[in-house]
Amino acid sequence: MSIIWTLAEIESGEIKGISHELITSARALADASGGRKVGVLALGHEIGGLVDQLAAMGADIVALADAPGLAQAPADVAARVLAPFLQGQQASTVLLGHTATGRDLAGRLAVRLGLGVIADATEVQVDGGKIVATRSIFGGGMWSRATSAGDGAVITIRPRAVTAGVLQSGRTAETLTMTVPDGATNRRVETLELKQETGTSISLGDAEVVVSGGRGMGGADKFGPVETLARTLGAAVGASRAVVDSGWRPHKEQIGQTGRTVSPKLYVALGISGAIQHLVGMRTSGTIVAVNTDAEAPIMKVANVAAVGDVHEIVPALVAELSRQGVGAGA
Amino acid sequence: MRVVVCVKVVPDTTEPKRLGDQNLLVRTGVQGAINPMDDYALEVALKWKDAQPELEVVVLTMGPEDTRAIIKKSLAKGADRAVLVSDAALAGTDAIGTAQVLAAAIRKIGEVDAVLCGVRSSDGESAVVGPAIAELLDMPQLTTCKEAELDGTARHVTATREADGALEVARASLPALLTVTKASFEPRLANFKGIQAANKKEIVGWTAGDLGIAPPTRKILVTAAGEPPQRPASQVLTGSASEVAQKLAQYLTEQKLV
Ligand SMILES: Cc1cc2nc3c(=O)[nH]c(=O)nc-3n(C[C@H](O)[C@H](O)[C@H](O)COP(=O)(O)OP(=O)(O)OC[C@H]3O[C@@H](n4cnc5c(N)ncnc54)[C@H](O)[C@@H]3O)c2cc1C
Ligand SMILES: Nc1ncnc2c1ncn2[C@@H]1O[C@H](COP(=O)(O)O)[C@@H](O)[C@H]1O
Repeated sequence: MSIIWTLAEIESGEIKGISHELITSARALADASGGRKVGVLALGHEIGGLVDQLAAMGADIVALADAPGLAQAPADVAARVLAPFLQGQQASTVLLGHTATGRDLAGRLAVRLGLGVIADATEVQVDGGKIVATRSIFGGGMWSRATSAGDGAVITIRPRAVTAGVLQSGRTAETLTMTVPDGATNRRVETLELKQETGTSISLGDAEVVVSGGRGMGGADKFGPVETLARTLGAAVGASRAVVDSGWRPHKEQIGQTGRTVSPKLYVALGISGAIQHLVGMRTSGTIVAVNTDAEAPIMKVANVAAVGDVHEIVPALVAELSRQGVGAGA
Repeated sequence: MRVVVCVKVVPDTTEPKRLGDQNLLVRTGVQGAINPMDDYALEVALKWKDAQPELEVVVLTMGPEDTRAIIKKSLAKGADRAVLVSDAALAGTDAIGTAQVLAAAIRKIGEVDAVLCGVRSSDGESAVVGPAIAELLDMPQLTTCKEAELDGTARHVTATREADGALEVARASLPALLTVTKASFEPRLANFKGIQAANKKEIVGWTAGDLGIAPPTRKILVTAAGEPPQRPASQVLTGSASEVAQKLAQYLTEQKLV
C-alpha cells in the first residue's frame, strides 16, 4: 500500500507546530487503512538532525532534500524538488497545512502530480477504504465531505483543527534522500525586506486562543483590555473589519471574509456585533465567548457563553479574577 | 504590457446558499457579486494602469453567461476588455480544473506579463486556483500581497505581502502571478464616464472548445454535505460586571480553557 505523505514545515532549523498536527493526521489515516506508512518530506539546509523528532511525532520514513538553496524555499522551487520524488513514490495522498507554506504549495504540487486538491479540511478519516476530508463551507454554515475521484489528492488541513499526538521518543524512522534536480533551486523570487510587526508575538494561525476586539472597544487607544486579556490567556489578538478600517488595528489581525479564518480552541469576541462576514472567519472555533452590552447582538447567539455588559468593566474584573486563580501569573 | 486579472463571480455573502445536484453550489438565479478579494486584485492592476496608461488590463472569468452584467462593472472601473469562459460542460469544475481552464485562456490571450488573482474566493474558499495557474504557466508567485509595483523595464514586480506574523517585501521576475488580499486601499467605484465607456468595451465569450481543451475531469467528488450540529444554546451571563466576570472565570476554568 502506498505511503501517506506529509510535509514538515521548518523555520530557522525548527519544526513548526503544524507539522506535528499533520503527522498525527497522517498517522491516523495510515493506521486506519491497514498498516500504511507515514512519510514526511523535509526540505531545507542542514536538517538531518530533525529526523528523530519527526520519528517521535509518528513518521516511519523521512525524505530529506538538503541543500543551501532549499532553506525557506519558495513554492515553485519546493514543487520542483518534491514532485519528481513523489512521482517516483507513486504518491496519491499528500497532507499539507492550510498555512502560508501549505497553501502556496498545494496547487503547484497537485498540478505536477495530476492530483486534485481538497483545501482547508478540518478532519480527515478513512471511510470504506477511501480517504475522506471534512470541510466547513459557507463560513461554517454547512459542512461537506470530499474525496478523490480516483487519482488521489493533496489535502490541506486547517491549523489547530487536529490535536497533535503524544511524542514517542525512541521511535525511529527510515531516511530517504530526495534528489535535487539540476537548476531546481534557481530562484525567481527574492525577499528584499522582512518587517516584523509589533504586537503580541503569538501569530493568529498558531494560536490556541484568540481574543478579538471590535468597534465596541471604543477607539485605538482603548484596546488595552483586549491586549491584557490576550496576555493573560496566552492568546493572539484578532480584530473585526470595522476596527481595521478605522485604522485602530493592522489588517493582519482581521478575522472574517476579507481577513483570516481561525479555528482556535477558545475565541473571545469583545465588543464585536457578529456580522456574517465576521462569523465566517471564526465560527468553527471550539468555544466562543462574547462580551457585549447588547444581549441581542448576533455574536451572542453564536457564542457558547454570552456575557452581557461593558467590556471595559467586565474584562478588567475577569483578568483580576483569573490572576487571583493563578492564570497568567508571571506572563 | 498586458496583465490579466482573474475575477470570480460569487453568490453575495448575505444571500442564503444552497447545494444542488452532486452537492454543488447552486449558482443560477442567485444574486452575484465580484469576489471581494478579486476587487482588490483589479484595483492593483488599475493603479498600475493609472501610472502607465498603455498597460492593457484584461479581466478573465469562468462562469455562467449571466455573470456578464457583473463583469461589466470591472470594465466600467477601467479594465480594457473582458473574457468570459462559459460552457455548460464546465459547470462544477473543481479548483485544479478551474486553474487549467483559466491557464488555457491566459495562453490564448497571449503575451501576458502578470496575472493577478484574489487570495481566495468566498465560495470555493480554497486559495488554490492562483498557485495552480502559476504552476501551469511556469510563473513564480507572490501570494497574499497588499500592494505591488510593476516595473516593465526591469522586468519585475515588487510586492508587500503578509507572511506569517510579518510583512515581507518580495520581488519576482516577470511574468509572475500575484494573489491579492485586502489591500491597504479601497477599490475604486465606477464613475459615470466609466459606465458609459464600458458600453463600448468588449466581453468576449469563449467555450472550452475555443480554448482547445477538453473539459477537465473532476478529480474531487463531494460525497455529502449538511448542516453543522447546532451549537448548544448560549449560556447568558448577566448581573454586575464583577458577577459576570466571576461566572466567566469559573466557566473557563471548569471547561479547562485556561
Ligand atoms: C464584502 C464585505 C466583507 C467584509 N469582511 C469582513 C471581515 O473580514 N471581517 C469583519 O469583521 N467584518 C467584515 N465586514 C464588515 C461586517 O459586515 C461588519 O461591518 C463588521 O464586522 C462590524 O464590526 P464590529 O462588530 O467591530 O462593529 P459593530 O457592528 O459596530 O459592533 C460593535 C459591537 O460592540 C458592542 N459594544 C459597543 N460598546 C460596547 C461596550 N462598551 N462593551 C461591550 N460591547 C460594546 C455593540 O453592542 C456592537 O454589538 C465585511 C463587510 C463586507 C460588505
Ligand atoms: N471561476 C473563476 N473565474 C475567474 N477566476 C477565478 C475563478 N475561480 C477562482 N478564480 C481566481 O482564483 C482565486 C482563488 O480562488 P479559490 O482557489 O477558489 O479560493 C480567486 O480569488 C480568483 O482570482
